[in-house]
Amino acid sequence: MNKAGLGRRIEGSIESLSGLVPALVFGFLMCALLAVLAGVAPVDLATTVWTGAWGSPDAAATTLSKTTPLLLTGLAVSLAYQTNLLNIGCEGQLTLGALASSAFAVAAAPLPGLVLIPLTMLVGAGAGAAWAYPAVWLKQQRGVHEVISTLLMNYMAIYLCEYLVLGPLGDGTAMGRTPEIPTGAVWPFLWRHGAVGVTAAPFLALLLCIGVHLWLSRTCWGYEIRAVGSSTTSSRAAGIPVDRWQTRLFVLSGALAGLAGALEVATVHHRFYRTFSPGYGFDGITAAFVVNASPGWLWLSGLFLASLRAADKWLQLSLQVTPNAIVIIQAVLLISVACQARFRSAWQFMLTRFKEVRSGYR
Amino acid sequence: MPLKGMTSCKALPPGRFFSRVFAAVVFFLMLLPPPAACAAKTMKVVVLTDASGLGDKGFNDVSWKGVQRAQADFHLKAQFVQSREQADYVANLSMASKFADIVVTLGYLYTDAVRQVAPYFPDTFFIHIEGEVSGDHVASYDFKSEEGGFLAGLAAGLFTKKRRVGVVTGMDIPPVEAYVSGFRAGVKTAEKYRNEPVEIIIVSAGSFNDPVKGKSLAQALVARGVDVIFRAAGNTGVGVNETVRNTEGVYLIAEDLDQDADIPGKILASTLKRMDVAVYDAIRDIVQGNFKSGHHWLGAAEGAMDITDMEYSKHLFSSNDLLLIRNARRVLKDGSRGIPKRHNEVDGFQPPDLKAATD
Repeated sequence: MNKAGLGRRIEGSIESLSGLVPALVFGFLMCALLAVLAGVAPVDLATTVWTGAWGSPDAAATTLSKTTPLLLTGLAVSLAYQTNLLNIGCEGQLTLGALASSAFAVAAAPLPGLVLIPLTMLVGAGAGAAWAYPAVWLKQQRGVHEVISTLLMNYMAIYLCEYLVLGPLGDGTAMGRTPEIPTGAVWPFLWRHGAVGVTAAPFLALLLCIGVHLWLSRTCWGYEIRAVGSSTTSSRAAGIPVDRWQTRLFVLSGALAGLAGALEVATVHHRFYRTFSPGYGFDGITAAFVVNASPGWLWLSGLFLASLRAADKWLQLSLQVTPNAIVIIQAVLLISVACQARFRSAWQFMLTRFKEVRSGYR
Repeated sequence: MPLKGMTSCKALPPGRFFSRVFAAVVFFLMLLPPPAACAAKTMKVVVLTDASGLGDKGFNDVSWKGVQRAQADFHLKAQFVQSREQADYVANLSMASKFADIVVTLGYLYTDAVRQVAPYFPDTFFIHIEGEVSGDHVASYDFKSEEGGFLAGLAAGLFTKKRRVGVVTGMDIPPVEAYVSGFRAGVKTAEKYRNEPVEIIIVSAGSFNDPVKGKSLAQALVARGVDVIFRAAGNTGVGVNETVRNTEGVYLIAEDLDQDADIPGKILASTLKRMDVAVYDAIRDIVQGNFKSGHHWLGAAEGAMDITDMEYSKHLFSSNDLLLIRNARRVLKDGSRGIPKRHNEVDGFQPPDLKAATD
């Protein structure tokens, strides 16, 4: 690469970060302000989150395990967003994926683990994909906005699962859960300490994020997808099959959300519980948009949000802060990131002034 | 003769240099977590609740009361941790077990987690409420909720004018099933003394932490013509209280904690489940060095299950009804009367003779 190309590239990446970084800094400052108002020193808050999430090997294992659903639902949202579609339905796709995979694992118990584990994941992903498809079909055939349809299909999925798990797929108790999945379908711990440990799931999720990033940035298909994302009209004019790409990516997005559910079942709960998800699907939206829906940066937001969530117990113990504080922190950051256009225009204004001044001296 | 090396330092006079080093050190010290405040060893107690947390006007609040009493009496340091999601149970319990000397877990939903985690922390004492866990450093307590349910059912069945009573439950876990079965047995006993049938409508919210659903379920019960509602729903029940407060002619029987004074005259009675006594006694035993591990069933006979004295609602009952309820409390205190614990045992239940119990 020649010198000018490198310079342009650096300028381009500064350009793209010029909104996000100040927005995040602003968000963190707001969180610090809130902490002060709540009577907590911001430094204490930060160190407590750090200790709670990464302070000991088992805390780190817990945090890593929590990263899995956030990365996958975040990736699901980002992927659909590459083609200008917003998948708000991850929660439903995840719930359905979890139930489908756990019901399948219970039914297919005699299979050996080597076959059972991948099949279980496939069934979960398939259920998520199947639940995502109607939304994109409705959009293309009937012009129903996908935000509305996916949002509402969440509730259909959640209550459908509730019905199924209290009835035909339940374990006979009134606890709202399926029977335990066979040990062959459970992901083994790579590392364990006491009752906590970490499986391969977070690393798989990370690999998927990197894979998607490379696919989007380095391949011909990725180029087409990004073209659809930047303008559907001109892509259509250029002969790119916009509808087909939107359908494919939306279904893929649903599959990722379903996979997130299946992984929670296979690595954490070992069965489907009606109340297992505290809103992972919705948190995926946060995870995705805190880093501008770019799959290459998801690891950062995924790890950050997981750290916050894993540290909530430590916040309660050492600072007596309500665990809901972390929900507030998430929300403040997301809102600041949503305002990044404002920060970017301020940056561009400064940049042009700077260039003017510099050229004036010449 | 000046040393050659000194020339490079001329930009910073020694005073400025040291003040900068000092500032840097202070800055990094601020980043470190504060040192442990007290040298003297006070026992640490951590209480773990599920997502409903404190303020549920029931199960968690009652248990926390016992911990607070123990904290005052034995100079402990007690804290509570609310788990935001089910995936946290094992992780939070592990963390608490490492951090504290005594861990108190509240609720049936924690049973599996305690079973998994406790063996790894043989030096920590575990007190688990609702659900059986074994281990020589674990004490678990279960309550004969059916006895409280029985008294609630008797009071509701005797009181109802519309001959229709309702129950709002959280999740149908075994302790709640016991409550409801006991309630049905109580209503059955009331039927015997009224000589007329009383209909029971049971609805479930599917969650212990959904007050909005609790409120709408209670409204649905009112619409079906119910005039007494029994709640066994944890934090969901807060919504049931709301409905009863705002609806004329509908009365409530609350669970676990004495709430009679919250809506005076509209809460007929509260069943009393003395988790606080169990937790307090267990902590006392640990402090005094005679911890009793194992599983314990506590009921009316142990003073752990009862109903309030109906201070605000006495005038709404006939003296005959009050006598029956009083006798029922005494009968239960004298020993087990085979109140059904499970739904399928209710049909075979024979109402006890409450008239014969002498005053």
